[in-house]
Amino acid sequence: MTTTFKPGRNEPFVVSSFLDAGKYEFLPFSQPEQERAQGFITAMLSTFHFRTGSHLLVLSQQDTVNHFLPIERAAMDYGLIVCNADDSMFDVRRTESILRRFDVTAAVAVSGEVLDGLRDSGFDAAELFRDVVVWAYPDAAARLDSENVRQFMVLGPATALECQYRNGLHLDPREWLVECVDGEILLTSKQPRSMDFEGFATGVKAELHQGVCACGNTGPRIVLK
Amino acid sequence: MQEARILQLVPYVYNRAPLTRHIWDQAGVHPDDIKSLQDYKDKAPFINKDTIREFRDNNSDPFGGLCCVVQPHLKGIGFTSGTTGDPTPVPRAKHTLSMLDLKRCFWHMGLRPKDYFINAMFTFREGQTADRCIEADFKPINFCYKPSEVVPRIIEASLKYRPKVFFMLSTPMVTAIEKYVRDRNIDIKEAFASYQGAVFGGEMLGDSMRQRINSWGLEVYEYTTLGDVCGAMQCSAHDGMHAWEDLALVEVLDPDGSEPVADGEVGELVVTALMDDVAPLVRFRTDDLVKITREPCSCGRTHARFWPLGRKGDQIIVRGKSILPRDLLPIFQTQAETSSGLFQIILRSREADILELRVGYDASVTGDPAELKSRLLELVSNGMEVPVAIDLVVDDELLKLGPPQKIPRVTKS
Repeated sequence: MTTTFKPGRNEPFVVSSFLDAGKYEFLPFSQPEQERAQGFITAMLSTFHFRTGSHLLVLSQQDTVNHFLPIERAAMDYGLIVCNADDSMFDVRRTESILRRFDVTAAVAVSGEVLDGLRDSGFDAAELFRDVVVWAYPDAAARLDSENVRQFMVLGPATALECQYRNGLHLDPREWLVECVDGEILLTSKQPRSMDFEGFATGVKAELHQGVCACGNTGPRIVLK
Repeated sequence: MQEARILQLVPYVYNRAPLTRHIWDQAGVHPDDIKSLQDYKDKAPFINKDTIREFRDNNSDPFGGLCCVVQPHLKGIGFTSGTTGDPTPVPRAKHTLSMLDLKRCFWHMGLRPKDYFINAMFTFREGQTADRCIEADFKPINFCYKPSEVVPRIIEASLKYRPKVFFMLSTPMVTAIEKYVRDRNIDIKEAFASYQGAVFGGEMLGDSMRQRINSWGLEVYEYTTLGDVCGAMQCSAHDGMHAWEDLALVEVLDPDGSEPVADGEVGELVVTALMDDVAPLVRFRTDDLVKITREPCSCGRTHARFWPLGRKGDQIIVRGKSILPRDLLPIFQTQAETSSGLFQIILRSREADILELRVGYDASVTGDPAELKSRLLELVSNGMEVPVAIDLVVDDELLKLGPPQKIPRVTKS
């Protein structure tokens, strides 16, 4: 299948970026997309029971707005207090400071680079994230190796994350048609967007698990090989 | 309007912010004593960074006693840069004042609804803010602040979306653009032809740096903080930073006392946040030395303008002569090897017999470091008229000392 993405009909309010076969492309992003993505994240948060007023540590960069704006706004509406740090080894002092000072109930999205930075600065990441639900990129998830860890991934324009039940990565089933062709995950957008996708090759090798998840999500789940 | 907002603010913050209640009780001042703006200026006690840190440490309050709200009004926590220590948490609501003042500044620069702007803020301390521009219909093109990586993408975005404002430039971004353009022979003026202006902030801007940016066809607007209440930017007259006096009460006082200084005299910037219900700073002594004028600007605006001079704590007295980092920057920026303007004053004590400096240099354009050092020693000692010692360090090593966009200008060792 040929990878395609082309401008859609929605008026963007921000321009973000996504990776296509190792090359960055611009991703215009619209309000309806933001609202739908926020709804999906709210559903994911709701599979846990995070206490109102506890803190969510969000590790991100400014150019990942289409992934992290929905997360931040969903968390705020859910009742969590959002603390931000850069997804960078240069900002691990702030990450450590947040984990030390605040009642952090969950963290998203911990990367291998942040774990490297914490280690190089003399911090014990396993201890810092103890008792914290951690959404981690696959490389970091393997290193943390704790039952509190859930996988988190960026697949081109889409955000994928595990729910409480750790049955594989969910994508918003209203937003994306997910297929597995020759072992690679392909995405097709199902709703009007500022950038439409058809058979977008994510470069992610995985299996698709069908069936209803324990959390109630009926979409296919991505299980990494 | 300021008086109305002060009279509204004082009881609000006294009843909610533990630090304010503590400081005001200690000073024997009660909100009932404040019946006018003048009462406030005469009686309200000061706070500063040390007061906040002390309250934070003594009371295990991460917000230093400033926070006035809890969930659901408390939505997030931002942070100071941490350039000089542990990053300080700053509680925030869903909407932040920093975006309000920025939108005003962008409008002045020529940004209009449906226009794009480059959003490469060098600090990412308040989380995602793109949806805060929706009601103005300003469209950010977001980049992370990794200058050497994002410059090609910024140039690509400039050609594709024809943005009107570049937010924001600092030394590493300027250096990265210059290097990229030099290596690839790009027509940068054409790439940047759509811009009405570029914002430079987070550090001092010397004449040399301004000229380098101007040479790309960009008009530079300097941007600074108004004592951590909100931002302040130059207008197109480039004659001082415009304070937003509906957002902040601005006072400029004797750095060693509480009396106001006259317009044009050096004083310490003292601010009170008028529109922040989450963690308002109340009579906050910023440590920033400024000159101020209340004269209307030629652009027509009537709020105060100020000129930042440096931080009180950054001042060193060498054989009786006051020296601030701002005094040294132009000297280094005139030399090709040190044009990035990366340097530190070694401040072992406030008064010294010799000016000790650590200076960054670009190894790729430096033939003989010993010759460079000798040249810089002569330039600085002649310029400042004091004895000087210089420790040369390559730029990349100096940049490791701070957040990616800047380094502490003053260090004890």
